[in-house]
Formats: sequence, structure tokens, C-alpha cells
Amino acid sequence: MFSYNGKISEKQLRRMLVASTFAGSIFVLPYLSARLFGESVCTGLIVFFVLAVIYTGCIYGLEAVCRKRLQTGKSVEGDGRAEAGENAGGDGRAKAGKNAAQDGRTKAGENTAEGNKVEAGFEGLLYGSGLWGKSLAVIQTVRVVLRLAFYIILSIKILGEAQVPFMQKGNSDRISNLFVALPLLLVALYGAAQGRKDLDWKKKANEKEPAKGTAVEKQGRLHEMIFWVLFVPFIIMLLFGLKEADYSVFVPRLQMPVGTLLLYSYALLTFILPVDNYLYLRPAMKKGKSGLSFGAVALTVLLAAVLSLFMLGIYGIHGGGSEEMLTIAIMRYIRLPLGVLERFDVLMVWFFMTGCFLLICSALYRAGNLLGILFGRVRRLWLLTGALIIAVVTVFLLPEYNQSLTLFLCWGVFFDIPLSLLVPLLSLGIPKKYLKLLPVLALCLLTGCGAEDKNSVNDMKNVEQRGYATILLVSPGENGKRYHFDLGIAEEKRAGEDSQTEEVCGFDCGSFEELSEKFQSVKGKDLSLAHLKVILIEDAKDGSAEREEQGQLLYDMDDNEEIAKTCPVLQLEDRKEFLDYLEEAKEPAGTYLSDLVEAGQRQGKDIPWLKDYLKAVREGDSIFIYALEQTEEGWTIKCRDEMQESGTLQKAGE
Amino acid sequence: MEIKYNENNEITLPVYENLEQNIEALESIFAEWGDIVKKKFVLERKGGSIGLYIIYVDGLTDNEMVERTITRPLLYEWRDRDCTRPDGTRASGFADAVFEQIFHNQTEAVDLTKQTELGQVVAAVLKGDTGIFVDGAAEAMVLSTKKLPTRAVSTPQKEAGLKGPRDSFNENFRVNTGLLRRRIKDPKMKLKQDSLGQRSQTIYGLMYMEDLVYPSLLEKIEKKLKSFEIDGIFDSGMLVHLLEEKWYSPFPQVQTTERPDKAASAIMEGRVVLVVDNSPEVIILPTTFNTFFQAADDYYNRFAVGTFARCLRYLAAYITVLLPGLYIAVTCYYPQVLPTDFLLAIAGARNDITFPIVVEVLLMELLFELLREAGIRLPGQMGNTIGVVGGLIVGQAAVEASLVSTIVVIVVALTAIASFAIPNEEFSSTFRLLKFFMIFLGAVWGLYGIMLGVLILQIHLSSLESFGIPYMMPMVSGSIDDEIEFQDFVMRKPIFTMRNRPLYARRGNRIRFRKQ
Repeated sequence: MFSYNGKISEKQLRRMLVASTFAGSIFVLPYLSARLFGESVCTGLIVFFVLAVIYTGCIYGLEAVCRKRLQTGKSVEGDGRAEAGENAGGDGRAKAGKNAAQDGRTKAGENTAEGNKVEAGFEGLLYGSGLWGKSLAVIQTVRVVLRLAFYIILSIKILGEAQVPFMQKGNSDRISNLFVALPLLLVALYGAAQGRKDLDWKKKANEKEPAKGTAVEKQGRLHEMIFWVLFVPFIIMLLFGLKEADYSVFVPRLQMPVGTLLLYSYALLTFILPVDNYLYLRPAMKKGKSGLSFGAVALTVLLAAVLSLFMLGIYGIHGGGSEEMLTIAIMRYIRLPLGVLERFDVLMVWFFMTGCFLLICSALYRAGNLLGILFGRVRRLWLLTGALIIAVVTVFLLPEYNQSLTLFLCWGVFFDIPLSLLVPLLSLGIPKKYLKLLPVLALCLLTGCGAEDKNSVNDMKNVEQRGYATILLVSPGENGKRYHFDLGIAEEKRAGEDSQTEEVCGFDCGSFEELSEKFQSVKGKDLSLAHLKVILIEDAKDGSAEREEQGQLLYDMDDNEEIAKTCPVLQLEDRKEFLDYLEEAKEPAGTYLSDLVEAGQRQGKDIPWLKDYLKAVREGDSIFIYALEQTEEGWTIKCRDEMQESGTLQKAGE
Repeated sequence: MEIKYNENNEITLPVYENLEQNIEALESIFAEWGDIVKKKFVLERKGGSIGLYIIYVDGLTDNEMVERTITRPLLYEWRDRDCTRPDGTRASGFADAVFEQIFHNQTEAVDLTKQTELGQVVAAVLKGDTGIFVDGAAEAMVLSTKKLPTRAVSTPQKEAGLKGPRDSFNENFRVNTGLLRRRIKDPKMKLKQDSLGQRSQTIYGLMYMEDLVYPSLLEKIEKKLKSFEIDGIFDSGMLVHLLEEKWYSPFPQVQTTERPDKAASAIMEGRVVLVVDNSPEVIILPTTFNTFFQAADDYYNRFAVGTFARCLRYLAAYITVLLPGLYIAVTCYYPQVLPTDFLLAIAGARNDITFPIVVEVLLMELLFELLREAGIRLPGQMGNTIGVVGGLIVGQAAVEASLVSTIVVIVVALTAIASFAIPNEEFSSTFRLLKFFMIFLGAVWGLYGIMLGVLILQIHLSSLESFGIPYMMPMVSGSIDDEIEFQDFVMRKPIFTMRNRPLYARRGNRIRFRKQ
């Protein structure tokens, strides 16, 4: 029938490779490419793509070479390799080209050690026996476990961005955040542990059909199912973000030395290393051409590069280089049409977590297989748990996300990328001197220190326990405070009531955190800025000092995850006049102003959103400033002037 | 007389030559049986008279048939006849001669068999057949005279449809196999019959198309059926649990149906239908997640309508599992997702509610489950009353008493309606159960929790199998054949484009539609 054959199809192989490659690169590539290449980002990504295709070709070629060697048995050299060759010959050499894993399985019932090797498929045959083979298996395990540790750090970072409940604020949050990530890790463990356990093989060996491991089948099915979920947010982003992007980033420029550009492009290959999973997946493939998967991987890398450029086109290159989780931040810059959802970034993060799960799950699965080669008689579930524990301990030893990212990049440049090609070759008869790498690897493992990560707090609150601000009016503060915030808090709408109005309250605060605290202590509710319809900034009248304050205000708003970056920003000349209107209004002022903005946009007014202000401040672009003014007929939005200089809000001509 | 039973609870006695011994044994076996009918007759034949003993169970047997085909011909019509064989030869003894004559030409019945084991005769009598013993013959005759109490073929209760046939299976095994035979008049449709349950001796039959089914599948099912011993099987539902590979899974891994057209269609696809006596539902093996979303009338309606209905059902499944959990996650943790007006309306509706949202949702969900359970147990009219009282009056009162908000009532009602849109009740129950799991995760971890829940479900579903077929086919088929796999998935293609049978059918024998 269609299962219990220990095989995956070409489609499953393709999806397993593509999903891991895409998820592994898309979260870091936009940020890193902006940070490393700057204005030359497009050129850098083109070079990266070319290198990635070459690297993928090397992996595919290597697999073919190894398979051929195992088929002909020429790998019998040296101490451990002789045994490995015998193993391969005895169990699988006859058919290794077609299905090395399958043949190995015929003996799998004999003991769990053999079973574990077989579950590791090709790698089991390469590193299966002898001191040399075991040493190589150790190197591979270290590589995969370190990668796993990085993926866990990445997941924690994304969980923080997703405002997951119980994520701790402050400096000593590493352990508590690991605990929040623990359910995800356990689910990944559950995913990686699917399939027949090795101990069962013994029992099945006496039955008519030879015992077969089914873990790789289950992995294939899982990836096949989840595959599209991974791409959903990006499809949405492409659909709704097209008009937001600045396409000038797609023009190749070269503003850095070629050598540096090449080195950085090479470094980025670290994030497509899951491609080397092909080594153990290909022999498990039933039939079909592997060329398809090669093309798919190349296309995936291209897609990741194009999406990175696209994101930088929306966010700006300089801004992108300072936003660690650009892939998520960008979702706050896109607004869904028809107003179906006010904000959808948190929903998108939900999909992103699926990518993290796939990364952790596949790395864990491979780590379990490799550990199976080393500790053959141990049950697979324990091996996986062991791998996970080692990875979690490593996470605790590593510094915070940004530094870990740099460390991981260095590890990739100097060790991971070369080893991914060298280790399979070494297993076929490269001199033993490469054993010297082992102490170096051990040293690298010992490197690291504890650190912190900042994340937001967002514990459970019922919907009515928050005050929802629809209008935020910011003016210079008094009593030594930086800002004065006037908030229009929407009153809840009861059934049967026609509309809700805003309650006005004002606070002098130094930051948004202080505003939240003050609001909570006065109103007894949490403040939510997620539903702002409009942000009003009182005009800077007294020169550059106040305008610098306004620049700082924008940065503070950027840091505040609650404030939608798609909220319109207007200048206001007379604060008191507006507050009087707000207090006397018989209709929801927030909705009214939002309607005014929409009407203005329909009339062709390019009313800036917060994201436009932020981009202008970061990139030094110009935008038109619009102001809210009262006329005899009511309020209206008028174009004030152009903002030009970066960093501060200055009007043209000043 | 002491009756000997073997470890399978079968009587190990032979049929004795001496009629008195047989009678004694049967008297012992059927002692204190108020509904057993047994009588000894004397047959008058040329050359002497001979004892005859007839036994059957009243209520299971067609008395009239016994009288018409046995007692009247043997005692009256064939009285004083010569004891020769139909071919003219005589049997070795008088008793054998009489036995042979009765067996070959004196009874007016077709379904008549010889048995040498008393246990076999008793088993047959317990199934409604009539046992006939002749003094001096070491064999007994078993005449098929079953007339089991049964209800008429009625309309399906759980799988009603607007189009298509209205008949459904009932508790009679033979009626059920007949309903399938009526639809497929092909000699290649086989029926392998056996019994299960040491005490209940429940008859079951495996029906399949000989040339379409994978032999390995059939072997696997038979092996599974023989892999356990049980006292009794009273419904296919019991057998379902014994057939499933992962007992702990909330998802049914075999499909049951009360519609003969659905079962016949499954047979034509190369699947196996397991008919169980006393059960108004048959079991279809193997099954996949997708087949639970397929309703019989999908194929009787136009393809666009069928496809739309399928899409709705998939949507309904998502709503059933996720909506309450998502409502909690979004309103408690991520209100920024909701449009402002809607959010304020929710907040306004909840202002006077004492309980937290989680408790509110759980309260309403449990109330709904209670109403549903009560509605099933009560007779028809009262069940409807409970629905009205619960849904309208209690719901309204709960809102007015500020126990729950109107939005939660809408959420729970929508979830309930969605759960009923899933065509298979057992499957829909699974979703209703999972809903509580998602509520818990949504309340604890918000959207992160929901995502974890969905991942757990996906992992679990991707690892499930039903008799060698991945449960999530065609989503995890590995593209064996895309055209075949996706022809009957969320989109139901027009009948004339569904040229091939699904992958359950044996390779090389998959074409089911050809244009002339």
C-alpha cells in the first residue's frame, strides 16, 4: 500500500528541503542583508543567490558521489571506514544507489543500534562504524545541535515579537522565556518522534514483511501538510504590500569593496544550510528526479532574496538594518483592505511560528538520527529528548539574539559551511588530519555566556478591562516631562446605542510606558493604543529643539508595538480648540477624523501614515505634512508643507 | 449429561447415532430455555418406523416454513415410501437410507446442510435455523429457517440528504447485504462471512470487489478481525474501536455509514465494507480525513453545488474547532486585531458580565452540550422542546441575567451550527471535543496556544493511518498521482472528469469512466 515503506516521494523531499530553507532564511535575511550590504543590498543578494545555487549544487553532487562510492564499495579505506564499507556492503551496498536506507532495514530488527543507523539513512551508512565514522558523526551532531539552539533563540525572539502571554520583561528573562517556548519545543519533539520506534523493529522482524522505520515518512507527510501555511503570510504581504514598496532597492548598486561583498554573501549561506538535509533525505526518496528539488531550492533562495528586497523597499534599507525582526515588523506596515481586521501582524506571527516549528522539528529529527548512530541502543525518543536538552542548555549559554546571530554567522563562515561539505567527503577517505577540527569544535561549543532578551508583557485581560484610545494628541510636556498626551478614549457601545463618544483625559509623561502606568492608576484599566484612528502632533513653534523632541516621539512610537504604523499622523495648531471640540462632540470623533482622512485620500491627498514619518526620519526621505484645521464648517485636513531633513521634522524652507 | 466446551466456548460433542443421546444433550444445553421448540416425531416408512427430532428457537425461526417444508412432507406426504436413494441405490442401513432420502428429496427446502458436530447444529439453531436429527444417523441436518425480528428498511436518520435514495441499513445482516447486492450486480463483488464474539456469535461479512481491492488490504483486515477474542459484538460501533490502530486518537480511523449507496460507492472504489449483524451501520475500510467530508448527495448534485457544500463543510470544521478558542485569544490577548467598532460593541456587551470570558464561553458551550445530549435522549417532540427551551429561553434569560454576553451566545450558536454541518456525526463529535482543547490553549497562551494546538493536531493527523492508507490523503500523498488524488477533495470535479478510481483501487484497474 502507501505507507510503512520507509520512503518519501519526490514531492515530500522537495517540500522538506524548501520549507526548511525558506523558514531558515526569511527571518534573518532581510535584516542581515540590509545590515551587511547597506546600499549594495541588491548586488549582495544577487551574489548570495549565485553562491547558494553553487552550494546547493555541491551538496547534490556530493550526495551523488557518496552514493556512487557506497555502491561500488570504494570507500573501504582506513580503520573505521573499512567497517563502514562492510556495513554498507552487507546491508545496503548492493542497492545503495537506489535505496540504501531500505536495504539497511532488512537487518534492522537485529538490534536497535542497527535500526538507529538505518533511520539515519545515508548518514548511518557513512558514519555508521569505527572511530573515524563516529568522530564524523559527532561533528555532524554538534553542527545540527548548534543549529537547533539557534532556531530556539530565533523562536523565542519571534514569540517576543508576537506579544505572547507570560513573556517576561526585564533583564533576567532567559529562563522564563524558555519556559514560554517550552510548549513549542515539546510539540516539535512530538513531531520529530513520530514514526515507528526502534524497539518495535525487533518485534516486527519476525513478521512476514521486513521491519521498516516509518519516521521519515511521517516527517515527509508533516512537511507536506504544513508547507503552505508557511507561505501564507508572505502571499498576503505580497498582495497587500505591493503599493507600499519603494522599488528603487531592486536596482543593483556597488558601494562596498567586492571582497567584502563576496565574504558577506558567503556568510549568508549559513542560513540556507538546511539544504544539506538532502544528504539523508535523498536515499529515502522513492523515485523521481532530484533535479526538481534542486530547482525548487534555488527558487526558494531567490524568493527569499526577492522578498527581502521587497521588505527593504517598504521599510527602508537603513531602518531595515536596525530592525532585528524586520520580517515581523513589516507586517505592521501593511493594512488589510475593507477594514476586516484592524491589525493583522499578530495573526501573521502565528504563521511565522509554524516556520519556527518546522525548523526545530527537522533539526531535532536529524539530531536524533545522528545521536542514534552514536548511541545506537538507546531508544529514539530518549535520543531526541537528549538532543533537545543539549540545545536548550546551549541556548542558555548563548548571549542575546543579536549577538547569537553574529556568533552563528561566524560559526557558519568558519565551520558550518565548510564542514557541511567536508564531513561527507571525509567519510569517504580524506586523510585523518581533519580530526584536528574536533578540538576546535569543542572549543567553539564552550564559548558563550548568559544574556538577556527583552520582550513585551501581555498577560490575559478581558476585553472590557482595557481603555481603547482612538485619538492620541501629543504636545510638549510640562513639569519637566517630555510629552503631554491627550487621549480620546472610546466609550463602550451598548446594545441599542447609536454611537459611542470619546472621553478625554490628559497626562504629562516621559514615555509611553509611563503613560500606560498613569492611565492604569487613574482609570483602573489598561491602556490600549492599538485602535488609534489618528495621531495628532501639536505644531512645533519654537525652532529645532521641539522638532527634535518630535523626532524622538516618532522613535518612541516606533518602539511601541501596540501603535499601528498604518495610523494617519496629522499636525495640529491649536490644541485647546481641538480638546474643546472633543469634549463637546456628540459623535465619535475618532471615527469622524478617520473618515476625514479617508475622504482626503480619495481626493488625492497623500496623507502620511506613521510608517511614512518613520521612514522619512530613518531614510531622510521627504513627505508632505498635513494638518488638522478648524474652519467655519468644521474640521478639515490641509497640506502644510514638505518635510525634508532626516532625523527631525523640519518644514521645507526652514 | 455433561456438556463439554472448548476454550472458544464451542460445544465439542459429536452428533450421536443414538437419537436419545442427542436429545439428552440438547435438553441439557437448552435447559431452562422457555422459547425453545423441540419435538420428537416417528416417521412411518416402508420397512419400519424411525425417530425424528426437530429443534428450533421460537421467535428466530419461521414456524410456518418448518411446518411447510419439514413436518408436513416428512410426516404426511412421504409416509410409507420406499427408502431408496435418488440414484436408485439403497443406503447401508435403514436409518442412513431415511436420512439420505430426507436430505435429498423429501424436504422442500434448498438451504439444507449436514453437520456432524453437535456444536455446529446448536450454533445454527441459535441463529434461527432448525436442527433435524434422525435416529441411527451420526449426522444432523440444518435447515435455514431464519426469520429474525427486524424493522423495515427506513430512511437514514443521521445522513439524510435532499437528493438520492432514501433507504438505509437496518439491524438485519441479510437485508444489509441485500441492499448492497441490489446496487452492484457484479459476480466479482464477494462476501466473506464469519462470526465474531464467543458468546454473541455475531455474523459479519466483508464485501469487496475482487478485482479492485488490494489483496494486502483484505489480508490486513482479516488479520485484524482475527486478532482478538471478545464475549460479544452488539454493534459495528464496538468493532470500530477494535479495528482502529491508534485507540487514543480522537479521530475515527474507520468510517461508518447507514446509507447503502455510500457503502456501494466505497466498494466500487476498491474499499472494503464490513457488514455486522444487528447493526444499522456498516463499516468502510480504509478511510481518510477527506472521506468524512463527503456526503452522498455531493455526487447527485451539480458539481458546483457539491463543491460549494464541501467548502462549507471544511469551513464548518475549522469554525467548530477554532472559533471559541480564537474568540478568547483575540478578546483577551489581542484586541488590536478587531475593528474598533466591533471591539467596543463586545466590550459594551460584556460590561455587566461577572465572569471572565473563558468561564463565560465554557458555560455556554457546556450548556449547549447538555442541551444536545438531553435532546438525543428524549423522544422526538420533547427533544425539539428542549431545543427551543434551551436555545431561546435559557439563552435569552442568561443574557438578561448578565451571565453571558450576546456575542458569546452568537459564537456558541455559530459553533454549534457549524458542528452539525459536518456530515458524519462521529467526526463532528471529535471536532466538538477538540473545541474544548482549543479553548483551554487559547485561554492560557492566546494565539500562541491555538497555534500549538493546530500544530499538535497536524502532527497527529499526519501520523495517522487507516489500514495502510495515510489518513490525510490526498494532502500527504506525496503526489502519487495528482489527477486521481485531488479529483474528489475539497473540489468535487464533474463526474465525467473523474475518470479514475481513487487510490484505494488496485493499480492497473483504476479506470471507471470512459467515453464511448
